[in-house]
Amino acid sequence: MKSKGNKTNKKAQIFAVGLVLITLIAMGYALYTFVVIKRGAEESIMPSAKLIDAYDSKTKLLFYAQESAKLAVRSAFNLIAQEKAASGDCTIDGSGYVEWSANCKPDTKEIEENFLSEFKKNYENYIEDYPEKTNYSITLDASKKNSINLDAESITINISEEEYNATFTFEPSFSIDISLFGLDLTDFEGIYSATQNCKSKDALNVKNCMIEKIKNWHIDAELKEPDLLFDLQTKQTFFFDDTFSPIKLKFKIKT
Amino acid sequence: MFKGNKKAQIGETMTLGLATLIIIFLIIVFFLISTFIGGGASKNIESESKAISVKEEATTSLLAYLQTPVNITINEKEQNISIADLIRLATANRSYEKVLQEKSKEILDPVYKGKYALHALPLEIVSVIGRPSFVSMLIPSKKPINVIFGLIEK
Repeated sequence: MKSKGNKTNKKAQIFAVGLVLITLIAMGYALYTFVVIKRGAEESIMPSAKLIDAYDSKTKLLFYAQESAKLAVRSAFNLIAQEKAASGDCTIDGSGYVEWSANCKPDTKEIEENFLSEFKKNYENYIEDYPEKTNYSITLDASKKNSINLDAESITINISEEEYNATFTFEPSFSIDISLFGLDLTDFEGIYSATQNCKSKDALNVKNCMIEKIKNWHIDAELKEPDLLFDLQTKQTFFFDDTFSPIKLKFKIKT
Repeated sequence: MFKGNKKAQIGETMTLGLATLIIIFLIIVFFLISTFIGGGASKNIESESKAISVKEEATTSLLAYLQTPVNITINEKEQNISIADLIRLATANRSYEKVLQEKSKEILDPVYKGKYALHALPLEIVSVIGRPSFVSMLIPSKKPINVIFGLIEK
């Protein structure tokens, strides 16, 4: 009877130990699965954070490029108005008035070329300061005349962490419409033809006649025999270096 | 005979009781470990996703702020310029600092009710309680100007 009792006791012990072991294994497996799933969830959110960072880099770069383009438009147009509005055999007097004539007059095609080259120079000066380097190809949209297209080669941002690697590639491109600044590359030819149509010995008449024909500029005309002196200023002002001022254009014609 | 059987029954009950206690103890230990690991993980994920959304909001807000047009008087003439232009102007000419500060508050205060930080040389508005998520954006100028904007996680 004693041996039967011992046998039952032993069976109970084996059963109890087995139960504890099974519980231990089941709990351990559950914990392992939980840890693996948790790590997966954490890892799945990290790449999204990096991807959003990369997307933000794109936004910042595009904003900087667009702002640079705006500044470059103003500077390039200012230089054209001050130095390169007319082409040909031109003379300039001591007061800075360029004499416009049949041999020295604005040519829109040449103005466009000069403008684009000045724009590129200015734009590159600004974009050089940006930490990420990009090479934009810059073209004047032939169909729209006053629109500049800026197309960058593709930019790749590498996203890498310990356990994954990814690349975010984008091709930033945008257009700048010069006319939105109250400027027009064809203005200079228009101003020249207006002076020819309005030419007279009465400066006030000339001024009033030109005001009717020219919309982007404030016009002032003064007669200083034998010349008619013109001082034009854009109606809009622009930020240059440390202040806002209009773009100025000075020239004279023979009456 | 009866005595021996009773002893065996007591031994069996004790063994099973002990096993039950061990199992209960194991369940409690595993429960505590899981809570500790799981709690940390959900906190990590939650704070990470919150930080991402606040950063996103700050970037969008900063971009919108810089492009906001404002009317200001320059050389006795009313001008419509962007905040980015006003920052450039205030950096070159410190007499416009006050205008920049006023206009910035006009734009940002109604939306964020003072719970933001802004640093745009030479302007600095720091009126935050807590640690904000900062984003920055460069503005082209003679020397690029770094504008830093921070929002507090909600």
